[in-house]
Amino acid sequence: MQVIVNRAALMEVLNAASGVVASRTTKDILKCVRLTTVDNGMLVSATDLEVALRVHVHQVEVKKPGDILIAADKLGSIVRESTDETLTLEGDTQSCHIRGQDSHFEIYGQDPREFPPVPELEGTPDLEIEVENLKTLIDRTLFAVAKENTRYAINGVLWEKKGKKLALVATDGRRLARSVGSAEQSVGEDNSMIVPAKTVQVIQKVLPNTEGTVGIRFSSNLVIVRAGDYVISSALVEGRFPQYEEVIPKDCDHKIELSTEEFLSAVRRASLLTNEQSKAVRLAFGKEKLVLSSRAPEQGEATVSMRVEYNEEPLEIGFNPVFLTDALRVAGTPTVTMELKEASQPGVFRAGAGFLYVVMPVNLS
Amino acid sequence: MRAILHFDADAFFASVEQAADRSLRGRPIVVGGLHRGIVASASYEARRYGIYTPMPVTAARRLCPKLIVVPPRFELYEQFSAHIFGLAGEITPIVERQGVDEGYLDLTGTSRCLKRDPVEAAAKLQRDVKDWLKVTISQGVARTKLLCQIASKKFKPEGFTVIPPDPAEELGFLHPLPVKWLPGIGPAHERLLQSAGLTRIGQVARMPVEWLSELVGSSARGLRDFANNIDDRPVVTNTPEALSYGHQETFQEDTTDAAFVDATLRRLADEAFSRLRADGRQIRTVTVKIRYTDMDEHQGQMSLKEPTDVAADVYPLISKLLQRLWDRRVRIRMVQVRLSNVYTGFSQLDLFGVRQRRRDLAMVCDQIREKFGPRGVMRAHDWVLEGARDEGRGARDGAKPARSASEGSRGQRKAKEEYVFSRG
Repeated sequence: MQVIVNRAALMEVLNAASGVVASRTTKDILKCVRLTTVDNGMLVSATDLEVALRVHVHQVEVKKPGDILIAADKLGSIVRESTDETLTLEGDTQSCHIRGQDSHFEIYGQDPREFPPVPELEGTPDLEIEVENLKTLIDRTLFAVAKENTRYAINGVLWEKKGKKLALVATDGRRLARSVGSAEQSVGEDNSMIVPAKTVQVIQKVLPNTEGTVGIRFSSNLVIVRAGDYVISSALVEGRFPQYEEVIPKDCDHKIELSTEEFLSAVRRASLLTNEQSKAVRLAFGKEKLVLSSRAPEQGEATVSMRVEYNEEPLEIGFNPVFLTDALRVAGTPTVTMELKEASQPGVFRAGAGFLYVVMPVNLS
Repeated sequence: MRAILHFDADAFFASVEQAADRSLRGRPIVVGGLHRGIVASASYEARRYGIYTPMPVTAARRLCPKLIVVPPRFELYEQFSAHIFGLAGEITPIVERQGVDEGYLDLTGTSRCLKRDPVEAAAKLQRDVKDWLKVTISQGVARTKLLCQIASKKFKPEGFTVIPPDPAEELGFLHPLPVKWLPGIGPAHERLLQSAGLTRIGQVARMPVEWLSELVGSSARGLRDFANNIDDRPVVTNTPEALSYGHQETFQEDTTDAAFVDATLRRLADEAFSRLRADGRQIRTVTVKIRYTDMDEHQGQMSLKEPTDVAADVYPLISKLLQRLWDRRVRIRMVQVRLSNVYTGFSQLDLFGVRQRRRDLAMVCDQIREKFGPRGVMRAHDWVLEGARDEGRGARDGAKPARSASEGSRGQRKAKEEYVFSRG
């Protein structure tokens, strides 16, 4: 194989692939990317056997068709450090040569035929959604996903397809984020699947490189997402996602409209005097006023007040400030509505029609 | 001018046993394990035979065939300790507890408040303890914590040493003493100082700090200050909150049975977590220590992502640590579990109630054990230990297999820890 490839284009693709390539594995082959020439360019594929990525690179001039397998980190570093506009890649199953104007690298390769197959999205996708829409859905939920929780099912993001709506839901057991968006096209029955957090991260990373619509294939054991030249496929998380609808409170007595920016700033300032061992900000609602306070033992205390529309009984509730700021950062609306019942009951945030966030309080007593 | 009293009970555990049982008075007794015995405390009658702590009970028996060995009753010592500190509290509110049987009292204000100068107040405490509790304490009164502590420990039993707040008197007392009386000077440091010709505190006091730091490093300045009786450490009333929760067990027989050791560690974790829950706290880090039969020790720790107060969360970590630490093919003598990285107060509530249900379960188990004893409710690993006990292993030192329901309370455990620490 011999190709001349645009360095910037290749770098963009290798950056995306670096999120997929297995970092800790005993199989050297999974630390590689596969480069395959096709009719109008080159395919770059990577997999860790759970998530797989294939990208069609167009800015390539194919001199001699072929197929090579090459260590992803070495290729990535060379492409990143080089200054040439184009690089020439040449190789066989033995080794690969990368040539710039004043440089030459030889990397010993592996046999590409041993590389696991990387799926393509064939036929019509089950759902098509605008890139921007999907990006918003992911941004508003991915942060809430559980990290290495023993309840395996919540280590992924739930994707629910209902008619022409797509909802993403993530929870770590203390808070839950749900974001709903409209799809352009939807075929087949309603469906749902739990997509591993890593896969969603990879999708989040490649979406800015694309435009138009994203095609999604729902199946019982595999999700395939096609966005522009990128195709991401992944095994699903097995298990049952918790019955999340049940924990969304429906009978909150207090509804408070808050300016997103102002509230975010207040929470961030109040959280400056919390520490690892006592991570809580106290929200005290009084007449027309919200006072946020915190205390870090042996360090000090903080109090921040803001004006709010509140004319009911005084109410005090504590929250982990990180849980609040996480959601406020991605709300994307000038105001959010906060709904509360009592100090030991979950708080609910809504931003527009599309975003719902349920967060459990911290016991302050 | 400050006046500080340090008191230290004389042969505390043994004295309490003698106070509680008239027939033991005037006779050589030691408190210690019946099986694998180490003398935890020896009465002055026993000390005359050359018995000291810590020494194996078997060796002590050889020295004194008439020796009476009493198993420890920590809850009793805890009670006596509470009485002593109660009497101390009548003299001044500024009392710093240093263990079951020693503490500092700040007597600076007694002349004005009690119309009794510090020395009289101290003498009254010593009399009261002896009259009421039938145990004796040794006391030192001085201007600094350092001096009064040395004074109380140097002249025993029933010592009463007052060092007037006059620099000449103070240094006259301090400087001729061997260097081992300085805080932080253990046998290793003592040898080190001696090798440099420094045997008396007075010699350390005259040593330039730079030279001293060649020997003892960064602690040189503090050491020389102590040697010159420069010590403004205050008597601190509030005993600092526990920074960790530790429980340990010395096996009756050294063992190679991994299942038994693992079960023991889990049981120790249960006990530590029960105390943790009673204090309303959570932890994030667990440390496991093992001691081999040749006294070689290994320890390691692991942390959870989130703080917890449920023992089941750390079981997997404990097993992993044990597996990692036990890398010699040698029998194990002692194991310890320690919970640290303590979180106070706030607890994050759970959305689906999973953690809450597990906590509730643990709390209910605590209550059952409180009411019906440790066997009121048992986990699988407790059965492993039961099986081992039936085969004649198991059973911790000191604790009898048949425990009444109220034993196993917190007081006993606390005392046991202090007992462990005082053995050094």
